[in-house]
Amino acid sequence: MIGKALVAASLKPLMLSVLSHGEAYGYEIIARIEHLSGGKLSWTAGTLYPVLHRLESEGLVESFWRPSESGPRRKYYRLTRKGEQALASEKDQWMDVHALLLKLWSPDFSFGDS
Amino acid sequence: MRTNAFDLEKAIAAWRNSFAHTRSFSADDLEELERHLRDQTAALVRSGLSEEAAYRQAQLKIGDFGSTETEYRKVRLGKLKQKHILSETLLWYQHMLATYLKLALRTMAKNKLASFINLAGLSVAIGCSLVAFLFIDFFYNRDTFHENASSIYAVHSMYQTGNDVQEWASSPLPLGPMLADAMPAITNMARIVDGSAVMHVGDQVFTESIRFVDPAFLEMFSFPLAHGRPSALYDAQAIVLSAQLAQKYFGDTDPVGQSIDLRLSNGTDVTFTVAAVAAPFPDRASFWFHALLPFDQLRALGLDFDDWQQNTRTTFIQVDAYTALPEIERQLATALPAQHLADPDRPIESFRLESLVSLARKASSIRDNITFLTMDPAQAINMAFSGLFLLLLACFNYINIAVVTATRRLREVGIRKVVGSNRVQLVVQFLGEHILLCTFALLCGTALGHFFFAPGFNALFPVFNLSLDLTESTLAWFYMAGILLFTALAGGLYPALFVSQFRPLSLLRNQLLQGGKQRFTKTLLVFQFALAFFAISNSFVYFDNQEFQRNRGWGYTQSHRLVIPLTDAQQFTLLDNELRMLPGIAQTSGSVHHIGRSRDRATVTVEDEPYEVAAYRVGQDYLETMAVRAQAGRFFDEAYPSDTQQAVIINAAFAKRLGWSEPVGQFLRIGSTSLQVIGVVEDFMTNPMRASDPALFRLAPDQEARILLAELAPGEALATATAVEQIWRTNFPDLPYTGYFQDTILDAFYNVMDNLATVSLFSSFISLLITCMGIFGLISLTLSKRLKEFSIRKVLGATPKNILYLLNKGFIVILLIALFFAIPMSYFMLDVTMGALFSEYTPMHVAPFVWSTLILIVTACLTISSVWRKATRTNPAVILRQE
Repeated sequence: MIGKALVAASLKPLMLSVLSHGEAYGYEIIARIEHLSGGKLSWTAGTLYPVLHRLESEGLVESFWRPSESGPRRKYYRLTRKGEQALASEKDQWMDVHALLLKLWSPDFSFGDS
Repeated sequence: MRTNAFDLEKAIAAWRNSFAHTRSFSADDLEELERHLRDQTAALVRSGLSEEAAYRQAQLKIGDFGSTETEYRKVRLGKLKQKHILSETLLWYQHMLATYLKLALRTMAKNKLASFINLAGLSVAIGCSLVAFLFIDFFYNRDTFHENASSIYAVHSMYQTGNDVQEWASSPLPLGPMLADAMPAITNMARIVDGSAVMHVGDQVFTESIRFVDPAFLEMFSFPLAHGRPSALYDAQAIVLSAQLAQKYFGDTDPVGQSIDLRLSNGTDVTFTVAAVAAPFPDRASFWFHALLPFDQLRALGLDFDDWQQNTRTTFIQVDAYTALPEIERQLATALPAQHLADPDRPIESFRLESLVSLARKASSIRDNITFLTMDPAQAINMAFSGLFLLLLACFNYINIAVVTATRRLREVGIRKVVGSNRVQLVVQFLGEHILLCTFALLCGTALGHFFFAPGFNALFPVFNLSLDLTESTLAWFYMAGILLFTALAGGLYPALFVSQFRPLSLLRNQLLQGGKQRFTKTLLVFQFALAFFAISNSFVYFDNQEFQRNRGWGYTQSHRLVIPLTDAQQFTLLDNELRMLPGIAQTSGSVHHIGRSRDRATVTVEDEPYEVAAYRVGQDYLETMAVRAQAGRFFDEAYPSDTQQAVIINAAFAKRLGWSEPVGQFLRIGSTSLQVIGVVEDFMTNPMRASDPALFRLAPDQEARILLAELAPGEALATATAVEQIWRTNFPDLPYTGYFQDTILDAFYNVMDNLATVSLFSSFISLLITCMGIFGLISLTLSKRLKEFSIRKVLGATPKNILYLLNKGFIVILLIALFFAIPMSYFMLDVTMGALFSEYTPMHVAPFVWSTLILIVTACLTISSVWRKATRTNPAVILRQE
């Protein structure tokens, strides 16, 4: 399982990234993340929706209702232009951290090199 | 079919209901969550679970209600909150403060007596402490009105005498110019030499004090000028007058350009032109002048400006940079050899620079200082203590009464606690009430101090002009704020903490209302009684000492001795001959110096050890005429011609200093002159505050006489004095007559001491008043709490006496404990302070302490019995029927 702090930190970039592949509703987002992570990352609705709503109030995503064939209508979310920019910035930051960790973890790395 | 089969729709509806009761979820949110629940359930059913199990698991996956609700609320209400939080909080505070204020005013109105006592006691104490503050401020912040105050320094000389080093305000005459020439950092230099001259304007003739100063004097110091310019003194014939002198000679007209004839000390007449007139001197000036003459005039008077043996009264330099001081000090040291060569008997150890800003403050330790009104640090401390002392007394009162008043409000506190007040809020509320009351007291007290106490003090001591000027003094603002903080915290913190500490349940159950042991209150009362006792015994001892000082021998006969100062030596023979013919004159003598008026100082060498002593040069019959008491040997006598050159008479203090048991016949040396001691006289008083200085008398010829001393026959002294004045006026119509009786010389001093005694009487009265008010308040409150108890006792047959005993018991015990501590403490403290102030003071009697004890007990009993009457007069039935 992934630690609480990292779950919290990765919420925003993960949601934006899922939505960058097209609009989705809340359950769909949780299901995709759970599937992709092989069950290591599993959000509750109580965690997901408030964050989605906050992103919406910040103008990074927008929402709309759409009728569903299998029951009542669903609320869909999609990325806005501002959300795309936010994602790009998030991506850079994650990649920087990622690159750093990779460097540090590479077997032949030592501080004497650079 | 079982009727209790799972129904998904019902379950979802119930779930939705459980979420709908809070405002954290909007309808949209709930719809979205519900759809989520349905999707989740459907997915779990697809994976093979039963509908019921799928639903339960899906519900779990949404998260528990609490944390979900919290997260939703944060997002939903976050924005709303941010927008309103400030105004909403302010609104709440406003309501809260308004409520607190209302409560405070109501409490004050409800406890009129307690509020009045607190307010009155605090106000009076604050008023008194304001005077103390102004007094201390007056002494500690003087001369700062001079624009250059921070860059002006006085050059002082340090002399080694015996084991201690004395600081003198004087310095060698040539030092100033030498320093100014050598050091470019010194921008200005002014020396002061004091003298006197007879001033003629029209038909007005008076002897006036004159200050000879270097021309830069008025430019260095910012004495405001009413007429003329600061450069006035560069004119060699210029004279600068004080406002007072200009008024005296010229009235309200502008005297600039007018002529003044002066007869200088060498007898020559010189005409000067008024070049400038000073405005009335600022209250904060520690020194000033009556008339200024250019320094160069001293040359005409025969002063050798290059003589290192001659001293100025003082020398000031103005320095352009603080950093130059060490360099100046080095330069000063190079001047020492010249002085040592010129005056080997009185070598200056070193020079010292004293800033003008601190000059007046340190004046009491500087010999021959030019400061008007020097104050011993002990006096400042004394004054500060009196102020603090009254404040403490009032605060103790305040605390006691506040604690008792607050215990009546314990139910209120209990309710507030139950309703949700925390301790901090309660402390803030109670402290706030105290701050409000203290602010009132501060206003009243400041008004009292400003309009009554300070003017009263000024009336007693006319040299002072104490007044509060809030526009000028930032220090005064700090002082007022400090007083407010001090009284509010000292008086209010304990009661506030006291009432807020209890648990609400016990408060409401009334367990504490009858009070615990009140140890704190009692301790404060002990202090209060002790302080009051000290104040009362203090003023008793003061008055006792006053009487003692007046009746104390002066070491000579001061009554019926007429002193006539002379302006030149010829006057003596003429006057002496005429006076001897008057029937009312018993004896006369000439003298150069005179006890209580003038004296010289001399360095006496005995066995190579130097001693600094006061030296009087007197006429043949001076000691007889003054009736100085001989202790051993004889006075000067015409029968011994050697007396004129080789004889010296010393006083007991000097003999003691020298360690001589048989002084008569011993030899001592002044400079190169060897002198033989022919007599020892008893110590005589020149300053009642100090022990007698070592002193010696030498014979001076009548031709040098500067005063004529006449002993008048008793009974007709006043008539004779008038006759003497008449003789003077006939012989010297153009010279002022300045004769006086020797027994008047300490009048000013006694006057000041009387006034000090009045001040101490006043402060002891105030402290007694405050204490009485305190006891009265405390006992009234106690009584009102115990009224029921007393009523029951009365019903059961208690007599008024029994009740008086019950009321008194606690207080009398406290009073006795206080006296137990206060009597020895006061005795000790008074002995120490009197010893510090006077060389001889009244022996400590038992009487003042007995009187103080009686006064304290009687006033306490009177106060208590006034309350007691109320207790005995009330009808028990009325009291018991209440509630």
